[in-house]
Amino acid sequence: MERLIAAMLRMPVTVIAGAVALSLVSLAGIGRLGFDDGFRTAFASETPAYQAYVRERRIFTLSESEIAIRVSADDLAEPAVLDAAERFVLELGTLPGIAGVASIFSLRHRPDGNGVAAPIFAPDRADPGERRAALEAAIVHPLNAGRLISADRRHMLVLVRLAEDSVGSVTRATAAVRALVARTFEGTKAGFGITGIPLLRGEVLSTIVRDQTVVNFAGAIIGFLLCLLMFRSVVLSLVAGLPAVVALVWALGFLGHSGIGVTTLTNALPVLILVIAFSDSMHLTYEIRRRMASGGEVLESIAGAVRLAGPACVMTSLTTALAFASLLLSSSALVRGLAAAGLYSVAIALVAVIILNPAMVALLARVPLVRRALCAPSPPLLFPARTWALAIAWILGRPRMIAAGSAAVTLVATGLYWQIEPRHSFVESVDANSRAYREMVAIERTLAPLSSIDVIVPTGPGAGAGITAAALERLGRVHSALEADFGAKHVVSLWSAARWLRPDEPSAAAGEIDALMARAPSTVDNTFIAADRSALKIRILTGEIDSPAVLRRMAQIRGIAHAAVNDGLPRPEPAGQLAMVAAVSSVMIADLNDSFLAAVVASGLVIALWCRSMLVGLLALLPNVFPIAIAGAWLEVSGHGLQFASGLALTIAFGIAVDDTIHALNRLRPQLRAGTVALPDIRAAFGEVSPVLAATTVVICLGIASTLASALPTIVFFGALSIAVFVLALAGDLVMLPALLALLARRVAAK
Amino acid sequence: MRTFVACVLCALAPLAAGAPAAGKNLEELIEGRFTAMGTNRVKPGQPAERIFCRFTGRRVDARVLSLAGRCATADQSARVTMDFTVDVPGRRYGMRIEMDMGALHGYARSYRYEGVATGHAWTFTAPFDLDGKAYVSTFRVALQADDIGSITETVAARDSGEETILIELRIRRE
Repeated sequence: MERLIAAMLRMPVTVIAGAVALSLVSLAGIGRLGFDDGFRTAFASETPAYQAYVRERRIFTLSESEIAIRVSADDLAEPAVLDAAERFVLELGTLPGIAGVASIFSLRHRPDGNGVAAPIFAPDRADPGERRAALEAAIVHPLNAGRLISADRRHMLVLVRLAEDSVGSVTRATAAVRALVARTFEGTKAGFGITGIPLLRGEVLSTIVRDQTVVNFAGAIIGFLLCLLMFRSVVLSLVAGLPAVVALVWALGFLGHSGIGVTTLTNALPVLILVIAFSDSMHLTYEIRRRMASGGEVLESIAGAVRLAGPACVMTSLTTALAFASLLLSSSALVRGLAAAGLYSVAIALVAVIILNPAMVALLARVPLVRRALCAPSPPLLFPARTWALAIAWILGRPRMIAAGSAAVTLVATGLYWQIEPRHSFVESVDANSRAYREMVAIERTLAPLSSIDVIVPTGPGAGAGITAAALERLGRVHSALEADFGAKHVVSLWSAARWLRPDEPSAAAGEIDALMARAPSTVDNTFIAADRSALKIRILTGEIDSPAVLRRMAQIRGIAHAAVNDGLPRPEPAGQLAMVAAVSSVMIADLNDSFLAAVVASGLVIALWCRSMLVGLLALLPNVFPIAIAGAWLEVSGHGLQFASGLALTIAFGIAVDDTIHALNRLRPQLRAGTVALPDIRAAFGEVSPVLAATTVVICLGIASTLASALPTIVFFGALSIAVFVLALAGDLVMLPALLALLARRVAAK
Repeated sequence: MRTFVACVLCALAPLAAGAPAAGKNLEELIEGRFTAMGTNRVKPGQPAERIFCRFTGRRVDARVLSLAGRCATADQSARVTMDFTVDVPGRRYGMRIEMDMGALHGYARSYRYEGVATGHAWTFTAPFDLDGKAYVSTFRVALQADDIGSITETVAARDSGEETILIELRIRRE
């Protein structure tokens, strides 16, 4: 430490030049930043559910590459609207990047004796009366069942399967579809809307990109304004703020160079690093100014401040790093990416603050204006010193009551937190105000759900060349059993087509279905039949429900399907993206609890080693477990459950909340190490540190409040919960910690 | 659908020699973007369906021109690439069509037609087999103006002479 201080103060220009060079390298990394919506990568893992999903993707085409277009009018039978809709469907098929289209215009009459199935919308039946009759026939068609057109003739759905799912091709294809739908229905009485997973993914990606500008910029501005408020000096605000901004640049540069990029999970990391760096830099600047205002020389004051705050900054970075490191336990590659990025970013934030801040002061103090600002007496932080003193005296006067009360509250809250259930919902990750999301809700309200829980029914022996009657019959048994529970409108499979083709003996329609499928592009064909013909799929259309509800429904589906075909062949199993996400997210969110426990144990041990006292290590944990337990209990009681955002927020916020405890203990470390801590020491230490802790908590909370500007609910929730944890942690540090230390002091005195 | 694409090409092929109705040479007519709307019948005995096509024409070299694009009915689409050669300017033409419906079984086809120009209309013919039955496919193309044309494909069974219209399209330059 001494050598570091000496080097910094001897060569401030070299230090700053090095920082500028690293910043330039980081800026190049920012240029290479990649963005990922996390729809797939978030759940990529070795879990059995994800591996089953990977196998499913190989043989089935999944609905996640589908765009849904709603066309609405007072009466879709109006000739201009109906003609435009038909032309739209035809033109869609010729757009680049489109693999298949399904609509009411694809519907056909049942095949005649020669196997000829005439289209319902026949071109030779073109007068308005005949077209209206065709529309009515489509409404009552068994393969429609209210999914492609509503019974009131007001809403129609066109499903478009995209050929590729790369961001570039999806963007081009959706832009072409948007342009076509707008051009086609211009001047008609029809309205339209577009949605689908590809569009929602695109919107999430745009939001992530926007957040990196808006949230980080807002965080930096808030940080500077708070510095200005606390230091009442522009110069000191710059001295305290610039290292934080540099840390932000370095963190973003790392995300770019490392290839980790910005995801829904790492989205909030840069602003988190910004506020941590702001907080540490303020601690240091405050201490330097306090010493210089008391008559200290510049270099001497800097060295003294670094000696005092430096170890605490290192320790706080270590505990925050431990919180991030605990996330390496996750089975999600994306969470582990956040952990790696967090570990690096915390380290660079520390370097940026502890080296850059003193070097800048040493250099700038040569300027009279800066020197005057540094020597000016520090204004009171938030409240006059006397207010703090009174509060501390009140706390230290009744330590037993406060300790017992807070321990009881923590215990009860922990009990509630213990029962929390992992919960993940698709809507967490998307902007609920986005056009695509609102449209999805509208379609699900007026037509049918767009998501589904799927059931894979193995075809059994004889599979390979085509669909056998036995396989179709087996599918039918599962389909019919599921239909009895979920309704005909919500259960779709080839059995729906088989019943339509052969009402009297659907399983005899295997040959006809094979012939129909042979005409269809593979992307459409493989929606319901595995490419290798090893299995058939049933889709149970399901609206927006969270993971516990999906898991319950999967259990129900599994029970029904197993009972329907108890024939010794491989059993039907729930599948699909919704099922995979529910199963994997539950595991991953539960992993976050393990991460949190690991972070708690590791932080306690580090503090115990730092203070050379296991007892202090334990005492230090209580004020930090308290806010997490309260927040966790609230999540349980309010029904939010433990989501990705909350699991991460609790773990990371714990790591940051411990920082205040360390800054407080840092003032008492010699006495704690020596085992001689006494009440006057505690009173003096908290008299000094309480205003700083309160001020830095305000800085961190307001800085993180910039995440509330995000359009992604998961980021907003992360920010809001983190703020709640920081405020509760401050209460723990200012009330519980001195009370617990006072009890320790009494114990020391009694010995 | 396969025949539709051939029709389009037929419509343009005679223009290589300087179509009287259009008064433009082939390069001018084939280069650009086109749409076509009409009906299509997969084979004799099948019901007609609406069809829409979109393609782009370009010149490959002095003798070969190419049209590539996509045709779609309400439930199917096909990628189509065509090229044709000017055998004897103003008189004889060759045409080759390749199409890929992206389907699992069959439907990837390649056809070669021979054609002649007769006044303001052009005709291409080719023999072809469908479901084991022999037919003669005939495209008749008439151009009313530079940017509008009509195309029909008729197939005649070799044994009975029974004719069926497979394609009826109106083509328009975008």
